[in-house]
Amino acid sequence: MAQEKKNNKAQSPLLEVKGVEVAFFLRQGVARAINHIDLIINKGETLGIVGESGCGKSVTAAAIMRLIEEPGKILNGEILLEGVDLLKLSNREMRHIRGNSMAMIFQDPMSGLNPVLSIGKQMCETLILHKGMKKRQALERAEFMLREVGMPNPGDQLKRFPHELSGGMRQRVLIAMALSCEPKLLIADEPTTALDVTIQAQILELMRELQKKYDMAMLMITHDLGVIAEIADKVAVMYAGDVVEQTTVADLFDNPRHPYTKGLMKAIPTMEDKFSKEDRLYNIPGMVPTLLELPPGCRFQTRCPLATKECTLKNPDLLNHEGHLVRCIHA
Amino acid sequence: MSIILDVQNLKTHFPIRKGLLRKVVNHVRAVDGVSLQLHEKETLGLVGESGCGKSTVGRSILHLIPPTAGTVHFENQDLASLSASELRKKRVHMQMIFQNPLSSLNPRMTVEEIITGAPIFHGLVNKSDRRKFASKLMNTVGLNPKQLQRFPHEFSGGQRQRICIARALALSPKLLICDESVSALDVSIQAQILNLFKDLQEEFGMSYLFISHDMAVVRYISDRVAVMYLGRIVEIADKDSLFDNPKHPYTKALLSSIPATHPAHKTERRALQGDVPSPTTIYKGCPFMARCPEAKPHCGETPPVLESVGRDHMVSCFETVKTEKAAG
Repeated sequence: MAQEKKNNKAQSPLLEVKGVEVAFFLRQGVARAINHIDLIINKGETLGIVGESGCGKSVTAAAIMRLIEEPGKILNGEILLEGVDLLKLSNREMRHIRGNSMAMIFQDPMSGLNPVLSIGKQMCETLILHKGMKKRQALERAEFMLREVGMPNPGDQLKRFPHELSGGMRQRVLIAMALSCEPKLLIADEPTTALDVTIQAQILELMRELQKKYDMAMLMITHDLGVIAEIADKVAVMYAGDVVEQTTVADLFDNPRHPYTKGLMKAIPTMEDKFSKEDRLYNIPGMVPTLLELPPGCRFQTRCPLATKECTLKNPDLLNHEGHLVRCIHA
Repeated sequence: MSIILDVQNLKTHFPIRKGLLRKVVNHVRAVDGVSLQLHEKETLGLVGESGCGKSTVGRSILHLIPPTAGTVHFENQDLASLSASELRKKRVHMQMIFQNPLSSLNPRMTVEEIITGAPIFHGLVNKSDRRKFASKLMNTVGLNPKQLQRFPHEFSGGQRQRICIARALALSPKLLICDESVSALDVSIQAQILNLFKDLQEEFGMSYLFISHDMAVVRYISDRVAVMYLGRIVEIADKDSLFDNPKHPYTKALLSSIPATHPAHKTERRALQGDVPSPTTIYKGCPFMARCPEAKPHCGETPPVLESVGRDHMVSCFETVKTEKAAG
């Protein structure tokens, strides 16, 4: 066993999520937001998580950062960052990891910034805290990082306040802040959803560039399959708290196997399609079940075109088809 | 097909006031000279980035925001010439559906009250028939008539948008302005609502002005598409012509920014530099000049106008028009 570990060290995973379950204990009942999830992210790699609202993708990110708050709770599992189980760390140790080895950026850049502090001050805070820098040193580093993310006149930007910047610029500041301590893992929760397409293209391009430069792994959470196609290496599709399909990006787009993924891909209009007046989009009937009233068996069976009686008996396991994982007995 | 809506040189400017006396120091030129026509049973898509003025165009057409200049003719009648009460009657035929269904539904009214409020007010439906009338509309938009006594918060996002659609349909409108009507919905629900829009158009023969930032959605639903930048239409064409053969440099950049639909199709970007400039500036020439990869010095001298560059294809760009004309 020890021998084996040594041999695999070169490609040992950076982050390993093993059997994590998260539930929210509400007055109305227990909402199982994540039902046993396993993920692996290797060094320098991008894993995308895609799904609709309420599927558990953001909760997964919050669990990895250990940011789940009452009434939510991580029930089971291990989250290993370079072999260290984050769930076993003290709050103090965890604070040292957040912002240092792992950083996160959010959908709404304004909510990630303090409106009454200048950009410079906010950026220095992290550096002084985690890297023990002196103020002048931190300011230099902050200016350097702003240049890295393509902000014009980085020296002047340090004195500005968040409301003086456009949405795209704010997201650049957050990326600069997240990367300033050179984290090994960047978690991005819908980082481009609030941005216009032209700005989204700029930000995705920037993230790709910086990922290469800093040799950083990314967890990209999005509802947009287009963003996944642009940036991810591997992808996990989530539905109602379950990972229903997981494989490489090319494989998912060439050969989707889960009926939910297939439906999703058909339901999204694309720029390549020519639609006539009579054409209709494929649509997945019904809607996502609430986590408090999950159907018996497979969570997708009420909306699934392939569903049989067997599907109502037991939620299927994630089956491995040569590395392509699918949670469906008919796939 | 006859023209149902004719907008000529529409301008909507918002004053910026400053100081103790609230003196007008400048204007936000949200819409700055938009002309468009909409035919019967046609869908015109209006796309552009945030702040380009697309929503203001929708609201100004309905005179929800009074336009600063220009005319809006609906069924050959100038809306500016109508009195407030006449305008209210005219609006029966022009309805709007917004992005966020929860904020556009009164939380203290039942669905039945929401749907039948306007038609009862306008005397189109008797109070005694309201249940039957509302039930029929619920079926039309794919909701269960048994839920008529429920309140908006008891429905999901997609269902709420269906309620908004039912409320608009209750007045049998001829024109429906959809302002980002599917943008807040999840993809699987978005497909259902988009299909509903198409089915309803087929059944009732309405015209749509479909405002959206999502190019693929607009391609699916529209017949023609107009692209806006800084309060102006820079290109307007038949949808296939626009999306397969974009002419304006801004349209080209916009389309190339759309994420790939397959990882193997990641294309070379014509990434635009910088952000959309402030709409308070007055431009002597082309407003896109500062970000345009093809700009020439003369672009800054006079404002470009929409010129025809092919069948049902108009573009507002000096260089494009010149090369198109040279090519014959």
